[in-house]
Amino acid sequence: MKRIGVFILFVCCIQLGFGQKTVQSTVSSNQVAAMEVFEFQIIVNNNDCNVLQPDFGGLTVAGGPQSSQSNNISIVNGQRTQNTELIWTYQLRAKEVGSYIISGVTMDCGGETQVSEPIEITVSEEGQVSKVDQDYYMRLTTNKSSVYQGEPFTVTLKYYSKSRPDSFEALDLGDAVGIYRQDLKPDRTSFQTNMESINGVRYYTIVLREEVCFAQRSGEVKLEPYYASLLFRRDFFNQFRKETYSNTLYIDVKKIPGSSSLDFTGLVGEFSVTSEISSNHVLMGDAIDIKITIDGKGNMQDLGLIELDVPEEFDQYDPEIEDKTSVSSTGIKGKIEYNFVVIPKHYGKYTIPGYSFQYFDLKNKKMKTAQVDDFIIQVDKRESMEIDPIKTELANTDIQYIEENSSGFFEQDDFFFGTWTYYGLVSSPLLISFFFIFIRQKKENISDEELLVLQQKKAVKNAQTALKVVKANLEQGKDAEALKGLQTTLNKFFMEKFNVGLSDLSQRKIAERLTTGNVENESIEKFNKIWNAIEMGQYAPIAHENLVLTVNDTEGLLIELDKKL
Amino acid sequence: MKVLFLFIAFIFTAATFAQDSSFVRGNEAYANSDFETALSEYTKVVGSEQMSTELYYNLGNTYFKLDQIGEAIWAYEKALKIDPSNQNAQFNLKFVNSKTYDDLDTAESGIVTWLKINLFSFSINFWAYLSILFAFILAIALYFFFTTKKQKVKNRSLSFSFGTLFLLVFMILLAYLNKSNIIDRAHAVIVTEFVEVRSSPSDTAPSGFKLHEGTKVDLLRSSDDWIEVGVNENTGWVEKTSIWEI
Repeated sequence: MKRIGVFILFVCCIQLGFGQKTVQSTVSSNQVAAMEVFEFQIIVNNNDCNVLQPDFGGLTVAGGPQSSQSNNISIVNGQRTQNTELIWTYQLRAKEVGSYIISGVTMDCGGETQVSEPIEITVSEEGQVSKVDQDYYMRLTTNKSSVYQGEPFTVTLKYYSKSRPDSFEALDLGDAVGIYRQDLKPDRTSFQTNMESINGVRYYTIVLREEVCFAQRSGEVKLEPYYASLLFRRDFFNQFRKETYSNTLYIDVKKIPGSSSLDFTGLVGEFSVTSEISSNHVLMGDAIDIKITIDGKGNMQDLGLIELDVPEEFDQYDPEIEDKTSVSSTGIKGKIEYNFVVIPKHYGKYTIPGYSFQYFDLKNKKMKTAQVDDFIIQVDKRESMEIDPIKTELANTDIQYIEENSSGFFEQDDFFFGTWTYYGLVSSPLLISFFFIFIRQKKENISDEELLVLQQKKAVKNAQTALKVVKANLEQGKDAEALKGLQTTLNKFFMEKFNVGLSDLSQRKIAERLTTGNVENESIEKFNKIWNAIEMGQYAPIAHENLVLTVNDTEGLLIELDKKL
Repeated sequence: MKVLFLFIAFIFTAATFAQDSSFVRGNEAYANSDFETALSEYTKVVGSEQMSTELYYNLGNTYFKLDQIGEAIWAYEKALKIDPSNQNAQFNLKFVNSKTYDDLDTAESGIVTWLKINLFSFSINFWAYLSILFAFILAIALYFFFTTKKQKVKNRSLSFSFGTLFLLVFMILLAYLNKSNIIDRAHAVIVTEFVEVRSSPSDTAPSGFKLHEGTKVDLLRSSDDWIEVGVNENTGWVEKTSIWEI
């Protein structure tokens, strides 16, 4: 009893909903030949309203209307929907070539009226209508035919067929040079079949593919025809295959104003960037985590690998990338996190420039810059930290201890080398040496005339020396030897002075030379007197006193003569 | 006159005493790990334009202990400039260089280093006095050559003179090179943490590459506050404040 109660309650709770009330009019074909019979249907959903027969606009009714009814109940998410479809079918034909319009069907539901679309029928000569293309075709459409480079747009591939497709066999995408495309429903396993009326003809439609695309270059880009192969049922046992190509889709791509900027990476949409750093103050060798997060909507797939301008004193590793984006019809949305690890190898205060990039803001049609602040990192020295591991051999020891004593301080001015004294001392021995050598050379290379002059100069000296011997003889009382010496001295003196031989020496000749030599008469007389005294002395002895006197006179005379000659 | 002489002698002694005592005080502070004081004492001696291998060597140690790598390298380079054969300075320079970032091939060829170590380690004045002695010997040899009549003596004195002349020129050249090596400032060391090497002497010029503390560079030319440096055939401009000339 209790069970029955629950069941009744359950039944009562089921909502008995009805689908929308609609009226539609369709034809089997809107391009027919004259006198060809075609079908016209009025399809009414879920109603019990009055439906008026439309004006066929000159077409004649060959048969009908036949009515039929179908019911279907569907339960989606516990929601039960009942559909009742009422169909009236007419057979129509045109008698003449031309254009006919079947007016819309009016449905009146107690004051609330609905009118279906009017249908245009083109009637041509018999045999000129090919129906194949009309019955199965594909359309490639886009939501935007003109976009900016990098701006997302959606492309839809829709299949139209007169009969209900049984199964989907293959899909081949056409070439799309310069376009990045991403399937919006990559995990799709089943296709939903819908009914659509195109120009009055009723088609089964299937959206085979929806994709979001980004043009990657400016100018005109195109999606080449897509290919699809579907299977249809002819009857219960037989299937047939239909292979179809879509149209070519052309997209006009506009260049982004200011896209030549260096910082512009080609991003289009809305973006923001944030950063995190694990520490700003570390020791050498400590790892620092830097996280750069780029959040936004647009062509995020173009972001690629970003780079931090890390100083060379840091070891840098490739960032770990965490992609948290999803594909939607308006582009790729979400965030991408880049986790950098840098390790300082040298102490100091360093600046890692904050990451920045430019993007094109689609809303404002303007370039914008997203950036994070610079990272300023203070790196301290670490005791026992070796900069280069190869050098550890040395690092285990300490430096050598200081010197207790100094071998001597000096200043720059203390250098003896380079002073004038030094140059003088170095060069003087050589100069002195060369001076002596010069003198010596001079003496050795003497000429006859110079020799004569020298001899003449020496004459008096030689005579004086000789006279000393004479005087000594005199003192010892050797008068004869003294006299002889005196004569020799005198002769030698004149020989040297006049440069003549002994044979040329006579009293007269000497007196003549003396006269021409401008010697005073007094001296000449003195000479004669001495000469005579010597001549005399050779024959008769001279008194010792007189001899001494003569010697002295001779000495005086020679000195006098030497001055004059 | 005698008083004046004594006064001058006293002044010299006092100056020597002052620099010596600063040096000694620096050593004491260093021994007590008071590196700040050691630095200021050593700097006093450097400031008085006095130099010695040991002074710069100790200064380098002090800078190293104070964690000033660039300055330490500068000081060791200075010490080795005066005495290239100083092994402690060589060791410490190598040690500190291992803590720098830029690993550049700055080593000179083996023969140059060998010559520097063996010839520049004598003082310049040593070569100066020796050259004067050789000038005397040369003078005597030349005198013999020009005056003697004996062919044998002439030949010997000629070859002896040539030998002596060659040695004399070599010594003067060596002394000259050594002096210019000490006085000329052809190199420098980066003393800031790092420096941008720019293509022209301006803050806005593009940066070609980066050099880090302790890197030894060649000095090429200067313009106002900028100086052109060369490293491994690359050249560029850096600010004068970021380098210390060796």
